[in-house]
Amino acid sequence: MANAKAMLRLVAVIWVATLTAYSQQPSSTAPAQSIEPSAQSDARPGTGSEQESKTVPAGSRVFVAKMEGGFETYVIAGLQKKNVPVVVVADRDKADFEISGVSESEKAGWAKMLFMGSQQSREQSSIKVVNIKTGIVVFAYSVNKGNSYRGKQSAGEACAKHIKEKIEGKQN
Amino acid sequence: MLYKVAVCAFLLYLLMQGTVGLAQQPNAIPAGSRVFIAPMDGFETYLKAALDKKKVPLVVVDSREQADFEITGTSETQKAGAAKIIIMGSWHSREEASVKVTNLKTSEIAFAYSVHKENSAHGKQSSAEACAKHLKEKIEGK
Repeated sequence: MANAKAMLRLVAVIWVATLTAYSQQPSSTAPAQSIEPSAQSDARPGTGSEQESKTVPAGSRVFVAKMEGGFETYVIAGLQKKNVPVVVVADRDKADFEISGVSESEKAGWAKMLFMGSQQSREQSSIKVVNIKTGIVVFAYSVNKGNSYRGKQSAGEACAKHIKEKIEGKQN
Repeated sequence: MLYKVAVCAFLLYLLMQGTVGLAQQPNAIPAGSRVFIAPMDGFETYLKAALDKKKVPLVVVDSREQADFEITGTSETQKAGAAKIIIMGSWHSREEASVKVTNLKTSEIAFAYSVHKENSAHGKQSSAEACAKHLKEKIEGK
């Protein structure tokens, strides 16, 4: 009986410890693939950790800055749609990285409809990802779609897809 | 003794599974949550109507302080011009909208969605209902 009580106490302690440990982890389910963002605060340009400071670890917290035309919402939706392993936060102070950029849309005019038979818009966007602590631009991407099937949504998802490739190490 | 150890180990395993499952759903939107819809140049009205029409299990409140989540976003409408009507044979408007749902306590984005309709049969209503439908799917875990 005494042994059973001791075992139950041990189980309870381990469970509380596990609950505490998981509640302190980043929200993303993807495991970290490289150095945690907090470790990048010691990185300095030109040092051996310069390469590491240009990575975007999975599970990082990112803040998407306001962009003209509300494009930041399309980027956030793209990050979710493409299952990019980052946690998007609405408060810059809580973020490790900041995504900012510009976006431009050009609607199809009569000439495009008449001669090209296309009513789809032309989308141009460019984003950059900056490490908030070090100020280093870790990633940047531009997209231009002459006939965007889904307008800003397509441009937002293209940016998200390439951010994901950067995180997964498929891009330098 | 061995039997007791095995039972405790199994119990611990079950508890950890539940704990991990709970910890891995920080961006879940529980049914019945109170949401505040921020002004979006009038699109918020369409969104409120859509949440009602699609029977999304959320409580819409008028005050941000009373809410658990906040819905913000953007919407754009382009009415069909003469060229589109004559050349493409369509008088439907082009609709684009994007919304995000923010957890006000943690500041994390719980959900985001973009919709684009080249020929929207019901204009902003269609795009709002698309957002509401996918939000409902998120809440229901689909």
